[in-house]
Amino acid sequence: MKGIGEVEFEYIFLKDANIGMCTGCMSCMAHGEDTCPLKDDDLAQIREKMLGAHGLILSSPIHARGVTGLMKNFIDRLAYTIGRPMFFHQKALLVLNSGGGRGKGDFAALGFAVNGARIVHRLYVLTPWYPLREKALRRNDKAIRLGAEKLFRTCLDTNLPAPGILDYLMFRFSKAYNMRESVHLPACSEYYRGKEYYYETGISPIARLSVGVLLPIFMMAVKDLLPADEGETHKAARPDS
Amino acid sequence: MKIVAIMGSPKGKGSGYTVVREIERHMNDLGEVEFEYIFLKDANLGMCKGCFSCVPQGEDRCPLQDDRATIEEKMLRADGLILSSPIYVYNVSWLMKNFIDRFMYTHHRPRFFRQKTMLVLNSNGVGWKQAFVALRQALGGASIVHELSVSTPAYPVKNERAVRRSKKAIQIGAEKLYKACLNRRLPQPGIKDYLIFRVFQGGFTEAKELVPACYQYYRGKTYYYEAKIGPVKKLIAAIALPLVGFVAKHLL
Repeated sequence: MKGIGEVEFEYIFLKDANIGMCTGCMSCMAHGEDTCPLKDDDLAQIREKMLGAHGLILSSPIHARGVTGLMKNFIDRLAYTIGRPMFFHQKALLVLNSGGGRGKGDFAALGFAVNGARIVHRLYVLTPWYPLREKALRRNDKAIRLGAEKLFRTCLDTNLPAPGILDYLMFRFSKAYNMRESVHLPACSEYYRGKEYYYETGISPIARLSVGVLLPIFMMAVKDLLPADEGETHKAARPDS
Repeated sequence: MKIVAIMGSPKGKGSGYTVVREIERHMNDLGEVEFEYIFLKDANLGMCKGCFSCVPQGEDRCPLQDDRATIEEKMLRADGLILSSPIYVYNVSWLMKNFIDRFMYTHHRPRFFRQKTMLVLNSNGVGWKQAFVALRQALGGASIVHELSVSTPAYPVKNERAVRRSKKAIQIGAEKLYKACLNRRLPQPGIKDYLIFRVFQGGFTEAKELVPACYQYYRGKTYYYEAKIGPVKKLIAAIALPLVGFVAKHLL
């Protein structure tokens, strides 16, 4: 990237970063990330650094056909950004490397670390622990250069895109779902309250109309997953009840 | 019958524990079953360093001198295994992912052939497909007899039918694991299993200086375990293996 223009790189090594292991308490999702029992570590600071960047690179080796436990913990700690996406201004390059092992959906798993970001490229690099042949080395080089160029180019574009029909449908569904859950997920309902979309943007009349039709159908299809309306007799889904 | 349950929740006894206890109850209705729970949260199992010593050099070279070997022995002594994880962000928890990473060498040198394995996931309702993909990678050689997904949202759900359905699913899973564990015979290898075995055996023999531990494991074996390989399978392998070798040498 430095061959193309001026780029400043900052590396965050999860191995050395002060990021605690997720305890699975679900506080961040329900009550906001400030209520995380590990809130005194550096996660919030790292998130702010990410939000201040133009581009993000997420790099993990493939262990047992997926991201490492270390990267998975980072993703788990940012799980609340699934409910409340935030990295809209960032372009993301996903980088996986391994000695040849790949897993179904490995890139998808990695991408969940940056909810809201536009994933501009998925780069896989073959890095076995034995020396590679010339041909494979050249192929790696080419793939790396392509990824770098793509990230550079897309980072120049700082406009937020207008949502397509599917994006808008997902937003409206998430909003409807989270507004219903104001008792159980107050932080998420607060995030969605009064929002037209995740960020300030124009919504085309076609998107509005299509979603007006599709949303009720969608809600019907997933009604088993939805929380009970208030005032109804609640039955816990757990088998111990 | 002995079942070892690996509990991958960082909470320890969360919703997943309730589900596995329910499985235990159903299995005990069918016969005498002893359950042992290993809570990864409390287990002395360090975070994988990614040094890659275990695969080529052998798992005893792992720089983490913790309870990995003890846990492996416990699993190998069991008739059945349950791997339980909550779904976090469309995947297993970091704790379960680290367990999978730490036992990765069992894919290069498979061993859990006698253990019937059930995968159990719980979540608010999404991510099953992706998380099962990850969880299936846990133990090399284990035959997965059932994959159970149970919805355990943090809020009460509206639909009583859904509640009944998940209770029924737990019962079916428990019965399936029980029945599978009664069968102690090792499975007869199919042609695909046999070919995979031979490809790995050939590859590791070719690269024996690079992967001494794998070479040792495969040396002189007809199959992973004592099994009869018919002449047809042998013939197909004899034709297919040189082809695989050619492709690996010249085209990759």
